[in-house]
Parts: sequence; structure tokens; C-alpha cells
Amino acid sequence: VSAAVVVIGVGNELRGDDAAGLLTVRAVDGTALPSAVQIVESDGEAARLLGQWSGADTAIVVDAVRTGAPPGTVLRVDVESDTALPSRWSGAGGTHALGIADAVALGRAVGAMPDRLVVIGIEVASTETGSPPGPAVRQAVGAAARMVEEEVAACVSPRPAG
Amino acid sequence: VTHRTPASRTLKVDALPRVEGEGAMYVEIRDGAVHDVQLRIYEPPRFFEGFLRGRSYTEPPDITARICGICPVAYQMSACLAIEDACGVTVDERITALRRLIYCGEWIESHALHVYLLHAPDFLGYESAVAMAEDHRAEVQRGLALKKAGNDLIEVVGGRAIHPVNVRVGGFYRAPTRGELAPIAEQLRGARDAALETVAWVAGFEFPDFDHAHELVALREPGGRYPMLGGRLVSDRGLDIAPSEFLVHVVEEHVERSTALHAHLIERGNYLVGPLARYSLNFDRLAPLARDAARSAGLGEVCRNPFRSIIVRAVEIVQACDEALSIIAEYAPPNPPAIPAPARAGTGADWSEAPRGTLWHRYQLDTSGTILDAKIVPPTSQNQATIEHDLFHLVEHLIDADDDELRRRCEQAIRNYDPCISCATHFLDMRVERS
Repeated sequence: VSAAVVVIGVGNELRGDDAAGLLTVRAVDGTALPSAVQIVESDGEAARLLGQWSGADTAIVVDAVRTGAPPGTVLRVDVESDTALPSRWSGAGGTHALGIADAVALGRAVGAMPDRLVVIGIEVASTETGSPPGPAVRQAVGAAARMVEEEVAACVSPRPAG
Repeated sequence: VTHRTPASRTLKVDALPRVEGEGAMYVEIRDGAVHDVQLRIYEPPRFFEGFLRGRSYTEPPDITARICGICPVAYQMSACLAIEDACGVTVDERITALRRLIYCGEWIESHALHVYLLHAPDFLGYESAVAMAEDHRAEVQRGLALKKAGNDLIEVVGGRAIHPVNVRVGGFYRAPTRGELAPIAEQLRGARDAALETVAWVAGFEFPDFDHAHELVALREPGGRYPMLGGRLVSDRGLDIAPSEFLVHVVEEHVERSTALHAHLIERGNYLVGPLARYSLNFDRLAPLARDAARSAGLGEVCRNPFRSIIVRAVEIVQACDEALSIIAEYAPPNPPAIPAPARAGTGADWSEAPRGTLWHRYQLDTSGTILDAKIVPPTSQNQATIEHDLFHLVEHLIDADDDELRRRCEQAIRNYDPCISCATHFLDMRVERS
């Protein structure tokens, strides 16, 4: 990517609440974003994520997570050099069992990381194949989208120090 | 230090890593001899054939693509060809060229993924691609760039990198313009060089002596091309059949340990589909560049060592990049992008060469084009019995190895076949029992 900021919604629309990342980036008000911001959707496969975020100054990845918090809880992780990602992000539901955590490890090993990576996670209830997203996730999408917009605004015009 | 292993033991791997889907392996050794080896596929059955019944004949390319996130194009191509056979239509050369182009993209991305991220760590002694990447950064970067070139090719022709949306019975919804293919040609020239470097890299790995005698089965296309779309199914032992004859020669049976069916040739037994078979039966059809790369890697015209399949996959990446570039150089958009394929009552069957081997589809339609019956035989279910056979002999060979070494070599042997468990269920954990 050549965009300064890339927003990546990760998920599978055919697995219930797993669609949370996709629904969130679709709810982001694209018209209000500067042109240096690119919004993409992803299945979260590690090699594809590297292609989607390498070269960006900042990547904001939105994905469904399972941390034990109440469903619909939105959380934010700034992935500095050694921050461990929640284990749910190791992608057990993926086709290759290589998820965001593996993408980060692989990206670090081959030098394909953005300068900064922020992960916004939405706690899921059910990721049953074939079911629609549940009420808690649908309700959380708006708040997650606003968090993405604020994150983008902060990257494009950095907050004054202090 | 003398390392002793018990005469009887059981080795179990309950969730095989670096394979597509969920499967397990079970090895039982009794009194110093292999008693039982099972490849267990426990991914839930998928019932695709069942829910195709009652759908329109225009839907299988999109529905069956969902069987696999790695080889959706294979499903789309076999589905289109089989339905077109039922409708009694044949697409023109330009549509065929565009179909081969998108299929080249799938071979490149699927093989690059397997060679670099799934199989190479076995040869270089790493537990994962991530661990390997820390020491072999440039190689993994090359693999990722190759995979990306394949995905980008699928996207430019298919409209989307996974589960393309531009494929239909009769051809495509929209043909890309020459201008739209120009940037991908540039990327493919780089990918072809990277593919040649890949062949040289994997040729330097160490390979155990382990030739097998399985019957090699692959497509042979009329017109002199390396097999991809249709043609006859041939073997090194005289099999030579049309798509409609497949189930006359092949039986599938359910085995209790697996949600995938085991296939074998009637009165002939196990057989092997996939890169080794395809290469060995079609060496004469390789592009000169791919043939030269194979020779310089020390491959003969026939390869029977499944561990060397990693070299064959690398050669096929060269082949796919080279063919894709030839297609783009001569490309003229098909106009119209799809031929009419009106429904009629009847049965149609056809096949294509998925990255993992021959994928056969058959559809029975009524006069309005409603699907009365669907049958799909993917490559992994055809290879499953052969994989177990290899494992049995490998374990015999390694009977004194400790459990870790045995597990490592068995997993590597399974990955020789790049099994796509998601496709085959309708699968990996490993267990060795020494009692």
C-alpha cells in the first residue's frame, strides 16, 4: 500500500459475530477521511495481511476477539515491539491457523510491518457458521467505527505533545 | 548415550499443524513392527453435494468455490466445465485462455504458500514458518511476493482474490482489458525469476530415498498444453478415460476414522494425483524454461519420491508464471465474455487440475436447469489411502526413531501431499501407540 494510513477490517461474514471487523470498517464514514487513508477488507490470512499493511505508516486492524470480556466490548491494543496479542488472535478459526499474531511475528521477521499497528478488537459471543452477527456485536459496531475515526484523526493530525 | 525406544508404542498427533483443515494421525507399533497407521479426518462433513440439489445450474461455480479458500478457482473451473458438458456447449479459445490465466494465479499462490510457509520449515528443521523467517528472511520475503503475485492475478481476472466473483457458466461476467493486465505482467516477470530461484533453493534441500510405486494419475490435455482444464485422465499403467467414465474406474468408500471418503481404482488399488503425477505424465508438455529448471534441479522426467514434490511444485510455479505471461502477451478480450449455455436435461461431467490434483465434478440437470444430483471428488480424498500407505512404510523405516523424530518425519510425509482437508471432508492430530 502507498497510503499513509490503512484501515483493515478482518472477518468472515459467514461466521456470525466474526463479521465484526468487516461491519465496523463499512460503518466508518469514508467521506470524512483524508485521502491518505485507505480502507480495505481482509480474511485475516497472514500473508495477505502483510501485503495489506506493509508500507503504511499506520495500520489499524479491526477484528473479532475473544478475551472473556462481555460480548460487544471494544478494546484497543497499540502493538509496540513486544506487546503480546491476545491468544484468540492466533487465528484458530482461520483456514491455515495463521492469524494476526502470526502475521505480526512473520511481519517482524521479514521486515514487513507498518511503522505503527493498532488493533481494535470487538468481543464476540458466537461465531457459528451460517448465523448472522448477534445483537451485542451489531450494537458495538458504531462505537468501534467512531474509535477507528478518532484513531485516524490522531494519526493524520497528531495530538500536541503533553 | 544409547537411546532405546520401546518395542511397542503409540504415537498420536491430535491436531496436525501446517495443513489445510483439521485432521489427526495415529500410529500403532506392536512388538517392534508397524501395526496400524491412520490418517483421521475429523473436520465436520460439509454436505455440499446435498445442498446443491434443487439449486439452479448457474450456481455451482459460486457455491462450490466456498469449499476451499486456497483453491476456489479449481472448484469454479471444474463446475463450469461439467455444467457446460451437461448443456452441450464448449467455450471458445479466448475464454479458455482467460480461464487458464486465472487458474495460473491459483497454482502460483497455492504452491508458493505450501513451498515456503508449510513445507520448507520441515526440510530446514523449523517448527514454523515464523521461526524459519527469522533465519531465512530473504527467502520468506520471496515466497510472500510470489504468493502475492498469484493472488493479484486472481484478483485482476476474478474481481476478488478469494472466491472470485467474475466466473460464470459459459465464461466470465466481464473480460479484463489489455491495459488492466499490463501491471500484472510486470509483476509476473519478477515472479517468474523468483520461481526459478525457488527451484534452485529447494533443490538444495536433503531428501530421503523414498520412491514409491503408486499408480500416477493426471489429466492429459488435447492440444499439447500442460494439464489444467479438461482432457482425458491417464496413468502410467494404461488408464485412459473420459470424465463420464470416472466412477466406472474409481470407487469411493467411507472409512470410520475419517469424514473424507477414500478413493481407489477398481481392481488396481491406491493411486496418486497431484504435482508428482501431473509432472511425471506431462514432462513433455512443460514450457522449455520450466523443463530446464527441472533438469538443473536434478529431477528426472518421472519423479516418484514424494519428498521431492516440493521441487515439482516450484517447477510448476515457473510453468504457471511462464504460461500466464504468454497468455497476457497474446491476450485479446473474449467478446462476448461468456457464451450462451441454455439449460437442458441431462448429465455432465468434467475435471480440472487443482494445485493438489484432479478435481472431478458431475451434475445432473432437469429441463429447467435445476440440479437433480451433484457429485464432487476432490484430490485429497483420492490421495488419502496413498498417504496412509506412505506413512506405513515410513514408520517401518523409522521404527527405532524416538517419538519426536517419528512425529516430525510423519508430518513432513503428510505435507508432501499438501492435503487440503477442508476440501476432502465432506481432516490432522497425530498419535503413535507402542503397546
